[in-house]
Amino acid sequence: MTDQGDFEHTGIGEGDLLAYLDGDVAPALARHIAHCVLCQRDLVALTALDARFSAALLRADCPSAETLLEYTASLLAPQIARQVDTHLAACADCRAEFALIAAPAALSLAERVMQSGRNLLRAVLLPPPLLATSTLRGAAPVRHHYTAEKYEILLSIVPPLAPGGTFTVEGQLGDAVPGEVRLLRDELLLRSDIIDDLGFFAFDALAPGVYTLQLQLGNSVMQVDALSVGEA
Amino acid sequence: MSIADMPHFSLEQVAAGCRAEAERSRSTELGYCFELFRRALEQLDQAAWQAVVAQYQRLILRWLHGVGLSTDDTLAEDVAHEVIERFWRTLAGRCTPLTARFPHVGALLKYMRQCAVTTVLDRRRSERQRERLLEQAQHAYQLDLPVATAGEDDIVERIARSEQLHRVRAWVKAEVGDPLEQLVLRLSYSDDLSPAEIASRYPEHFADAALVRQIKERVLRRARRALLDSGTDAAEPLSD
Repeated sequence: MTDQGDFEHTGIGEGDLLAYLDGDVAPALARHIAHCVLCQRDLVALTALDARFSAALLRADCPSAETLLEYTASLLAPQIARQVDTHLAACADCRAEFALIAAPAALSLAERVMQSGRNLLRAVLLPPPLLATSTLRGAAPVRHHYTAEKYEILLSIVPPLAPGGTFTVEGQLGDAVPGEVRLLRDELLLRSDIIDDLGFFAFDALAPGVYTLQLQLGNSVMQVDALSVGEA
Repeated sequence: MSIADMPHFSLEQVAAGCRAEAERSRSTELGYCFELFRRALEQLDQAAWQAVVAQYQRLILRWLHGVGLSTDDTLAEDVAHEVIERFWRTLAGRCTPLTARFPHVGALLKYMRQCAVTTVLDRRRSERQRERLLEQAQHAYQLDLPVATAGEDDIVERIARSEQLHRVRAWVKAEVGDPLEQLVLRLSYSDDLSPAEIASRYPEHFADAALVRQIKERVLRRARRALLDSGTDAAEPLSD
């Protein structure tokens, strides 16, 4: 046995070493442990075991994430589901994970485009040109210029002839590309139109609202989000 | 051909119908994608399953990025594979008929997305375990224990990936039946409380920190013997 400082190594147990790790031993004992080869060897072993316990028992009582998944999807046997119920009531970590798993996430339009294997191009609205006199008149069309990679599109929102009437959206692609245009609102398809040989398409009789346009061009889908028709 | 004939369609017809269907608004769905899932999950048709994987793998990758998986593309593909495996493992052959639990393809895709979230959560749990090991290693360095500083991450990674942590957990579950020991382990290792904190919060159980430490020491001594006997190198240092 090695004698260090005021202490004989004999009689120093793991409890002393645990206390040392916690910083909770008398200074004389701390000095001994810090300099005793045998204590240091035991301490290394104890630290290693302690670390494994610390990692292994982290949330050891919690159901696995997969069990939470099956609980969310009502795939668990009733008895196990009740156990998860009880655990969730007491465990904030699991409640947070459950909330993440159960969070509603309907497929967005963009996700559906990705799902189809197509390349989604989000159209970017370019700044308007200097105001032309026509845009200052009350019932003139509102024009927007969008771009997405190699594509450009001009959209005109034509107001109704009389108050309370409907709007028309007219569009033209910079380069005529064969394809289809879909008009959606709240992610529901309202109508579609074919892009003609000159790159034109149109949707008439539209109520005021916020729409989405999807132009299916080859293997790409150009999407115009939040197209405001007749709304401030 | 009518939709009612779909179960008799060839897999190629169904897969092509699903691809076309996926491009359209959900309100126009005819059921091709659902039929693909049904063949894969109800009939355990491997070819149909491969078609499902081909159809939805990119979407899963997008979900993974959407729920905060920040990793390189190769690893993301591995994680996507884990998602697909989990979806298969938890559903294949379990929901017959599939419509009883998933009335439409939207419900199945919702569940698939939940599988993606769950897989990311699993990785976060493992990451937290590695952090715990690293914290302990750093604590050892602060105490000037005779451990080298090199290779710290490698050792931690090796321990985290090995069966050691599972064995520790299994041993505790099987061998620690005393309620006070269970309480000390939970408070010390799950809640990360010091013996002094445990004693002050539970004075009805523990007169002082020394008693908590005694119980902890008792358990660790038993654990070391048992884990060494089972071949787990429980005392392998946290660094080389």
